[in-house]
Amino acid sequence: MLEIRDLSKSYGAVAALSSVSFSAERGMVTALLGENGAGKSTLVKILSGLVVPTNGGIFLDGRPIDTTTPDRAKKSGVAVVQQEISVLPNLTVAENFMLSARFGLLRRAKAAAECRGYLDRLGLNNVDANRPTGSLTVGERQLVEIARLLAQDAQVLVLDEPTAALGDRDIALVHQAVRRLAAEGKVVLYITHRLNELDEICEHGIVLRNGRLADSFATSEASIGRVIHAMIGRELDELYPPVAENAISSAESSLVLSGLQTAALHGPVDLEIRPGEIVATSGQIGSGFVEPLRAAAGMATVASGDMRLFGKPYAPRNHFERCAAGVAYCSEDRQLDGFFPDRPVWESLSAPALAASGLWGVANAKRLRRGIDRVADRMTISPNYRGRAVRALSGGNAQKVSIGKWLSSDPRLLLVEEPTRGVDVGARAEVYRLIRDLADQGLSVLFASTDLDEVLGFGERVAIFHNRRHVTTLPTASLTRDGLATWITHGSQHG
Amino acid sequence: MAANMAEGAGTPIVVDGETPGVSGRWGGWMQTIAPIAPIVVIFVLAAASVPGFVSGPNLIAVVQASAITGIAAIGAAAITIVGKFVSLAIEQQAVTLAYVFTAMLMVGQSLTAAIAVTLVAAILLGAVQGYLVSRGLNPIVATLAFGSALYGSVVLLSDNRTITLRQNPVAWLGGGTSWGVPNQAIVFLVLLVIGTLFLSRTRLGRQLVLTGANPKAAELIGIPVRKLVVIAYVLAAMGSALVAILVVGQVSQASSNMFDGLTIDVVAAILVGGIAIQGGEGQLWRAGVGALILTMLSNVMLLLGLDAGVRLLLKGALAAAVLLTMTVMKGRGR
Repeated sequence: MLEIRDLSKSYGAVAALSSVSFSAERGMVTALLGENGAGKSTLVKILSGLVVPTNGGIFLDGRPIDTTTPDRAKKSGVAVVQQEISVLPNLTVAENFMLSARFGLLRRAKAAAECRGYLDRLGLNNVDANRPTGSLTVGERQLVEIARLLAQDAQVLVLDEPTAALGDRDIALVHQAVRRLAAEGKVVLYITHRLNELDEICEHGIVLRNGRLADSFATSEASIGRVIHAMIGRELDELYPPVAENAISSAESSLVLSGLQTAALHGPVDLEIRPGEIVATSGQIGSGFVEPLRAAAGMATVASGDMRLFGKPYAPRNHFERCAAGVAYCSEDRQLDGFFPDRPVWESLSAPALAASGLWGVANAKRLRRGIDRVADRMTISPNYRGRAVRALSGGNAQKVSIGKWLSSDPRLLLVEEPTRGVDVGARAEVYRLIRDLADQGLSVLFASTDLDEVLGFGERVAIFHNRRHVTTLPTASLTRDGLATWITHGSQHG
Repeated sequence: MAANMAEGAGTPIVVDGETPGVSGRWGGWMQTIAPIAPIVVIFVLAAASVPGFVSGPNLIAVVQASAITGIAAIGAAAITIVGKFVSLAIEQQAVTLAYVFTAMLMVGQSLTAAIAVTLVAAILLGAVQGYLVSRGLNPIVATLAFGSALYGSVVLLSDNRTITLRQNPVAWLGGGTSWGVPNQAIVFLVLLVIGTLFLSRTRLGRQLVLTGANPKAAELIGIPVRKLVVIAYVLAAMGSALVAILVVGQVSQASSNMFDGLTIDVVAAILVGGIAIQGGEGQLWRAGVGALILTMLSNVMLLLGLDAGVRLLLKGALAAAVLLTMTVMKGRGR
């Protein structure tokens, strides 16, 4: 049993963690929940030896363990799978395994044979240990990382959002692996933002809020409402905003894809989006569901078929041409390319407007700044923070900046990949509302998502992809979660 | 739902409690004044210990001497700010442009024509480097190779001769003074002001800064990143052109070794002034301040009668110390 007793960590006057105590049983999967900034990452950093607590202790089976450095944490039997996948893409799977062995020569055949067993245990039977890790899917890489921990014979496994970047099939694989780890009698701490994972694989739940323990429960007894309440400290009765009744409806389509085909697709895509409409594309990772967005963003070469934007032929060759046509795009990795982390918030928010104004001429900083106040108000970003670096914002607010910045240039079509990946539940509702508000004013939104609940709750229609083909487009109101899952995994209505 | 919306709208934004900026306000303040501190320290030490340092003529000489490095550095800072490190071809392009300018005057062209041709040549030199770098070539390798090839061709074409002007129409600019202040120094200060305004008050300037701050994000919002890289190199070459014209005005000749060491001085000035080498840092005055610090240091060492070797060593040590300080402070800010 892992016990956390009275653990605190403060940075100057800021308490990141205050007197948190809980225990996690061997043989169980314990979910660790909380919004961004609730103290989860501090706890993980303490467990992995990256941060030394100000106060308190960690006990494994009643004995105190030393996690003051990463090395000592590892020796104490604590292993952490970080959110960012840390397998090295240029090395083979076996070589990645050998990285944790510090001494001795690398013998490829032996290494491959050794890691085979661990790979098989995680369901990676079809992955050759001598393949470069970079050629695996993101999901497979995540599993290789977990397999590497298995090899280290860790007693406490901390998994930091292992499924955040995965499609459904890979999620099932990871879940299977996690259950197996628990069944082997290990302590498993499972951090997730996907609340449906609670029922799926976790027996016990711990909720942190503002650095304190907010709730602790057996998942079989806790309702989603109770969990959300513990996480955000208030009720969240409506995650997905409703479609406005007086929404602008127009006969003219904003974006029409007809017979569109790209190199990554095996069949044509036909899709039509009207102003004010929010349309999803969904499928498993690698099913080609992101291709329509990439083509419309000018990032995928159109092999055949064509795109029309408000009736006019539209074929952007790069981001500059896309922006000039009034089309906004947010990649899935917005932490990387969604804002300017070291510059003030207002600069990121006004950047699309600045870019749209061209290269030549005077830029009035005051006017740019005033121009974004309207935008920032709408995104509930307090005036005090508009002059501070984006880096200083919490994760959810940084996400709001990365999507909301497009408001400043008044786009006609918004393309978003995975709109709420890595966004906690409170900020998620705000991101949805922000986009919904824009749509209600006539913006067309096309988003790609592997999160089935999000597709059903937030999209009005969904274009489903399977095996690199666009199989159908359905109104989400007529779909159940299971129905959508069947479509996505089988490419048809029936399994 | 309406109630929920109202409640949600009031959600306060929180600073991420898990990564607080420990250094906070004072770290930022320290980082701002850090580049000025050495000036003050060197000045006070020199005034106290070096005879003749605070005399008017010497101080004017310091500003004059820093002007050339400073002007070249202000231009080159555009490259640093856009996130492409620097051009290592600065002295070679300055030499080339000095030859172009002098040769134009020697063959009897008017001053206007000579300046125009020099600027056009500068645009070409900058655009070629900028094009190479914007296509993904490593800026260090590309500009080093370019500078070397350029220098080789100039030496070849000029037969490595020094060419001298019999009549120098820019002597007043390069060597003259206005109200007792060297004109070179005035050009330096004016350029510093123009450059600062350019970065904060023009669309081009602000987009240069954003591109350096995060090129991926800049590209996604429709900033023509490649074009901006080319423009940054052109601006740097224009700085070199100005330097070439000023020095030709001062010495009435062009020779292949007239700018020896300029590139390294410019890089050092940019670093010592505290412009972030990874780009996205928009304070151009830092390049000027860096040039001043370096020149002041050289001047003091010269007055103290130190060997050339010792002077170089100390200059290098200063650049290293400033870099280290900045890195440490950045690390603490995380």
